[in-house]
Amino acid sequence: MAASTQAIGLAWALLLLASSPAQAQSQALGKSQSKPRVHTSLVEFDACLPLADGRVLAGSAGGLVVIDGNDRMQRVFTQLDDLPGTRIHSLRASSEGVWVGGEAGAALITLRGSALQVKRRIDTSPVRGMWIDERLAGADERPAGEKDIYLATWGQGLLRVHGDAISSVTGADAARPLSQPTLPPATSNAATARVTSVAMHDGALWWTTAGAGLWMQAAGAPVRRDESFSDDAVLWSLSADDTALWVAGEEGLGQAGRGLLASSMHSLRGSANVGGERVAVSFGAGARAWRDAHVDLPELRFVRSIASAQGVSCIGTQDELWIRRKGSWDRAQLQSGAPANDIAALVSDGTRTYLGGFDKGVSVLQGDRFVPVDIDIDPHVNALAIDSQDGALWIATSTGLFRYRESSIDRFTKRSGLPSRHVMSLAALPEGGVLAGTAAGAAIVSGKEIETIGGGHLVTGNVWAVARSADGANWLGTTRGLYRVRGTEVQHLGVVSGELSDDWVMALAIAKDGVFVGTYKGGVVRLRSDGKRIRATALGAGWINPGGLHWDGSILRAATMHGALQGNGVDADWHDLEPGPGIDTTAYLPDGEGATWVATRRGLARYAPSTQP
Amino acid sequence: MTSILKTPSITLLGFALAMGTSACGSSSRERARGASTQGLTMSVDHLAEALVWESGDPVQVRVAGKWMALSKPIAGVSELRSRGRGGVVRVGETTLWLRGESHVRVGSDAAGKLVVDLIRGEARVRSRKDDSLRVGQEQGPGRDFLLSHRGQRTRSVSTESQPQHALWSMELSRPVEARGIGRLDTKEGEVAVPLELRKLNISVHLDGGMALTEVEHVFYNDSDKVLEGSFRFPAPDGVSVTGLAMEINNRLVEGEFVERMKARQVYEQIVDQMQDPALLEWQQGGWFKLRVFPIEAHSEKRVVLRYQAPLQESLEGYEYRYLATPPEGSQVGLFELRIDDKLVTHKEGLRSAEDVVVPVPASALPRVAAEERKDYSYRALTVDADWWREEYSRMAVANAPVHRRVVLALDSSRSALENRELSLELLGLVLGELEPGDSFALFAHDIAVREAFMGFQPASKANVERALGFYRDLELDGASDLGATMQYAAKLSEGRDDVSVIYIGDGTPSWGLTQSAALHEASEALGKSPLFAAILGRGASTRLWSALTGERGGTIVRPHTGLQAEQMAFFLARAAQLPRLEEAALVPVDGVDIFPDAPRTLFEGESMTVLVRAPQGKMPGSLVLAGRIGKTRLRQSVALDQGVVAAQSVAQRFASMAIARMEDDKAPLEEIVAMSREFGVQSKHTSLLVLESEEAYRQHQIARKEAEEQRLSANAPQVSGGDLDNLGGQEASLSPNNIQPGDPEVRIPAPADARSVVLVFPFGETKIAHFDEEDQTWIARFLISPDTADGQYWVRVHIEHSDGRLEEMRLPYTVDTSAPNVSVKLVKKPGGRVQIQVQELGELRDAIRVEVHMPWGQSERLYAKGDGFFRRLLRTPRGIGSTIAVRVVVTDEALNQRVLELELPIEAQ
Repeated sequence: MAASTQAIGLAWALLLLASSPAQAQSQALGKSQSKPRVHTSLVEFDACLPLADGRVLAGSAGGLVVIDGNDRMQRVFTQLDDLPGTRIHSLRASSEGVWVGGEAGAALITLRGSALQVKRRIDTSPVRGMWIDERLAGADERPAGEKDIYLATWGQGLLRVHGDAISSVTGADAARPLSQPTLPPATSNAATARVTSVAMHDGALWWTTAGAGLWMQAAGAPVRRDESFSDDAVLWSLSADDTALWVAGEEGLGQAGRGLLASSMHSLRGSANVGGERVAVSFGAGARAWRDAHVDLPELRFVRSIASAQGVSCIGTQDELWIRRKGSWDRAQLQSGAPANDIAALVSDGTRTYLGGFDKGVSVLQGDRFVPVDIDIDPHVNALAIDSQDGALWIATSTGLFRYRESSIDRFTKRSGLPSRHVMSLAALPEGGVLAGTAAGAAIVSGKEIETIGGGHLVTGNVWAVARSADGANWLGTTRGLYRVRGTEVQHLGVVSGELSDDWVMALAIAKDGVFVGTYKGGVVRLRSDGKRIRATALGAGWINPGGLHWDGSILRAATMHGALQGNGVDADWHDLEPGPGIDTTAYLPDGEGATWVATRRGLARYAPSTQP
Repeated sequence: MTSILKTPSITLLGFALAMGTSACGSSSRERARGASTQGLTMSVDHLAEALVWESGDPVQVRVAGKWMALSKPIAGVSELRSRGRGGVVRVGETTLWLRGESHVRVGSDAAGKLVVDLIRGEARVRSRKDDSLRVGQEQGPGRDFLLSHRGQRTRSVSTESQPQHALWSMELSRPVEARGIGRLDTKEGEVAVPLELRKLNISVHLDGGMALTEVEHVFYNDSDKVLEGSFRFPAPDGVSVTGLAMEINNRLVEGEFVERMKARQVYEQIVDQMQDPALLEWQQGGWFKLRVFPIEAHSEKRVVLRYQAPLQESLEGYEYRYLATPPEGSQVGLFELRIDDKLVTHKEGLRSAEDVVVPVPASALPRVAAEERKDYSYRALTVDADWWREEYSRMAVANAPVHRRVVLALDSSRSALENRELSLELLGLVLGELEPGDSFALFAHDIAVREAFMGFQPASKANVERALGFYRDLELDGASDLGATMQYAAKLSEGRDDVSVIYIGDGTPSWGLTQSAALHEASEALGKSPLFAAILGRGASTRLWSALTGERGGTIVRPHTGLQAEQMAFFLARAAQLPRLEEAALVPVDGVDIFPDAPRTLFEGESMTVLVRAPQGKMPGSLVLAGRIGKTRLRQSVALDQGVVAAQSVAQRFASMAIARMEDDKAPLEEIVAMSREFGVQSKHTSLLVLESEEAYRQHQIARKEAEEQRLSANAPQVSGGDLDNLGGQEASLSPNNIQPGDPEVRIPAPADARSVVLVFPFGETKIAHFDEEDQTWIARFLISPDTADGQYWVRVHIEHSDGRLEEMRLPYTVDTSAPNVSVKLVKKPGGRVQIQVQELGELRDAIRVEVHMPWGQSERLYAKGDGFFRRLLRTPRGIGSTIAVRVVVTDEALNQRVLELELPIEAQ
């Protein structure tokens, strides 16, 4: 259910990522070249980079942000603009443009005005740092094809790109052409493969790892570990100045070759020269100057990045970007399109569209932005539903079910009678109220009354999906298969009885001619009863997200971990739908105006009616 | 010769056991260094000066024949008696500490000395003036004495000679802390409301020098609602938990030791499905916490906790002590304490502290406790140095300097932040024990050294203040270079035996010399200067410091409360004058495991608990205790085959020490868990889990250790002699932790007022947890992408506490996308039935569910029988052939499924 950020495995993923930018977009959008309106949350600034023209680029979990010379946000670019993922981890200036390291690789971009052009793209594991070796050969800069590009990847180690060939610095692999779909070593759990930054200093190549210390390779020499840092050190960044190569890590600040120096700051994510002084930034302890030098710094806490260039400095935090020009710090004026990037649920009552974040609560669309709904609930939202009678918003969270209407809120937990306070799924009932699936069974909740499905004797495990069919039966999709409960009659359908190929049911969609069951790994199955027995027909697809099946007229839409799909409910013929800013798609929702929302784990996109296939 | 000594019965009054020497050798405590008293003569049978109450519980005084409470200064006191914990009083320049239930007569003799005649209990008396006290018929000079009258006579000793027996007096000057009584809090809104504690029953069984204790709490819910509660119990220091039971549906259900993460996972899995799981986990500071649900309306809830602890040494041998301090404003309906089934204490409506002290003479304990198990023999014994020997006494006459010289080495590295306050308190206490004429040198160290002063300074008030100010102003940062610390200390002490070196810090070397051997070598520079270490925090190796201090004539203490710091400072102030056997260690024997396994210093009056394990039939008849007094090396034989008595707890005591060593050596987790489960001793990596039924244990594949039978046969939990170091039990959990790619939830039990809880995930993401009020834990969710490779991963958790202290922990989880492999067979059974048997293959057996579908349409779930084996009996329809087509679906903990379509022959039984 997490965003798959690598070009592996499934065919449609390769099509989306390995094609040229224009083709990828045209495939995703059908025949239209129009782009959707993208809503992401501009948080978690892992990188920032001042540009020569006074602008600042910032890499966030919601995309690449362009800030103008007045510290105002100009544009946000995402995966839909052919960046290597929406989540941006690193930025590096080069003579040809800016290299952008994202969760799906690296790309060389240029910005002309507010237009982004991707000149080159390399698909890898998430790129946490980059170094472009543009050392002079003789009197001239090295030609483009001879430059070495070093990619610090999380999972594939340190990679070296030379021309069209990519190789592993840390391994013995021979150079492979980039055109080959097989990438260097598969994602590894080894700490040495989690490279967090790379730099050249004094003629040697240095790189940091998260859990394997500091490594280097001098020209012509083998790779070796710098023993001044421990072999299990978690180090996050490198920054060079005239005096040293600074290393920032969990234990503090150090220097290559000298190890960790005394530092009273922990969880350091980076350092840079600001106003002539070395400043380190910490995730938890803000920004502080080295050796208590006096530097004016903003009061911060969770800082993720710092950079200085062109006389300008920038600091990226959990939810802000700060820029220092001419000695004073100012907060960049940003406007997020949504309070959350990881969207668990999306629902609309025709006039209002609500969004539930994986861990950011509920927000509502106002104008062209989603704004948080100010209610005191658990921010871990699993599902949303609109009451069919009074229009109340039902919110399923990890610690209870909430009913919100006109600023009043009711909470239902185990003490109220729910089988469990961990509520995972919802289905609005025609008579009002909801059918709620929890971690220990399901219940009908209406007003103040709760009726447990199965009288509390039904042991189901987690109920990830619920639905009510026309005959009044309640359907519970669980990790142990599917249950049909009607009165006291309970029927179980699953792998053992042959109806499903995976007992982990994630989504249900009821149609006149059957029940459509979306499972975690086993795709979609249609169940039909002929009066005597139930017949199951496998319809393919797979990795259905919770609540990710819906009928829209005669079209069956599936929100999967590899994008939104459209099927006919008859056979295994599925087509890609519009993409969102992330691949892992959690909801596909036509709104009342003929537009379509595509919610993903990296934000959401709204496609105007003219873009629909 | 072997003699069997029966455990004596102990009655409430009279303490009728006679003192005497053991049949098989004497102990140092029998050799009188003090004097006996009986009815001291007084010229004036009351105090002329006014008596003032200072601290502790109220004291009663007798004036002109009448008893009254000492509520204001009063003259003419002839007798005092104490209740509860005891109290502290002062008359003129003399301070008198009375332990609970003690009774003294006071007056003065013809020479004008203050006379203190102990009638019952224990007391300590100290005067600022020399030679102004009379506490015994033939006492030596001095102004600080300990008295004990638990038998027929009063014993008195100089406190300086046996300071370890004065530690109880320091408690009386401190505020009452919660001890010995648990509470069960439920929540009403935001407020924690304690339930009524109707009964507190303590049952103790004395077994070979250990007290096997069972504490039963009975709470009552007098509301109309079903409640959920949190039970917390302040465990006494040095205990080892051996059992937990909880009342479920009117039945006492025994808990089981389970690997810590699995216990938490099982608990989380079922807490919303079942009603009555209970999970006992350590928390920091020696508190146990247990979640309890449901507590039915108008019903009692019983919680039983079992632990074991060594008997405490006392002036007259040993004692069992239980201090029960009700939380403020509450009471215990009925408090009873029994020792070996004899009622010792019975109190109704207990509102104030009750300090139950029951003496146990040394003669009442076996010399050697023995236990035989299948493959091994175990022995436990207490070893004293032969101080009764003339050569020991002659050599051990301490060249006690008139004035003390102390070098204090303070850890100023980053890791000292965590215990900064306690370090400061300890420093103040140590300096406070210095007297005019004493001097000290003080330096702080991390990777560099900073001196507070140049060299030694007199222990004046001004210098002490400067020293404390120096520490307060230190910025604690950098790594710890212990090698350099030792060298610097050696430079100051010049290796002289009249200079003591005291290290205060977390003891973990992280710079320069870090290997044990190198540190031992570095410590040799200290020469004859004894090295004492106060190790604060959880990280340091006890073994390393035991050896370092043991080789240097000092000792290691791990205080974690202010009281312990005070006790340590008190002891340190006197330790230099005490005769001691340095580098005391048992000579290794091939094939025999012996604890302790590191040399230590054995002060006179101290004894060493020794645990031995040998293969059956290979137990040696004796061991050799070797050591050094001054330059002279000494050896003494320690018999293992004399005075042997069978006991039930020796193997567990051994296991407890073995586990502590394994944890120190960072042995594989599985080995530690296996030993913990095998011997029923809690470790850092196991928790006690109570499930509501045997079926539930089977379902979650938790093998039962037949705890019920063991308990019944043993009449008490088993014993461990080890002192589990502070486990620092802030344990986090991750649910589920054996998972497919998905969205697990992390719960971190950090304090509600922590500034932040940050999680760094192995896939590079960092999340900030949020605090869940209801659960009182910090929670974060994260996603695992489907392309994550199988394997174990670690989440790093950073907790920033409200005081700025940082704590880091790591939480493992396993990504498992592999379905289980199984073998299946059908076995014919009588009565037209067939049994389907499924056995999971491979080392990892994590299948949790096996279902079968039979060709006649029947689908069933098989019963889990443990160790990956499932089975079920099925009735077959007539006419079934000799081969059956079966669909088998096996699901593991991570919900991976293996589906097998098989044609199976029906095998004969």
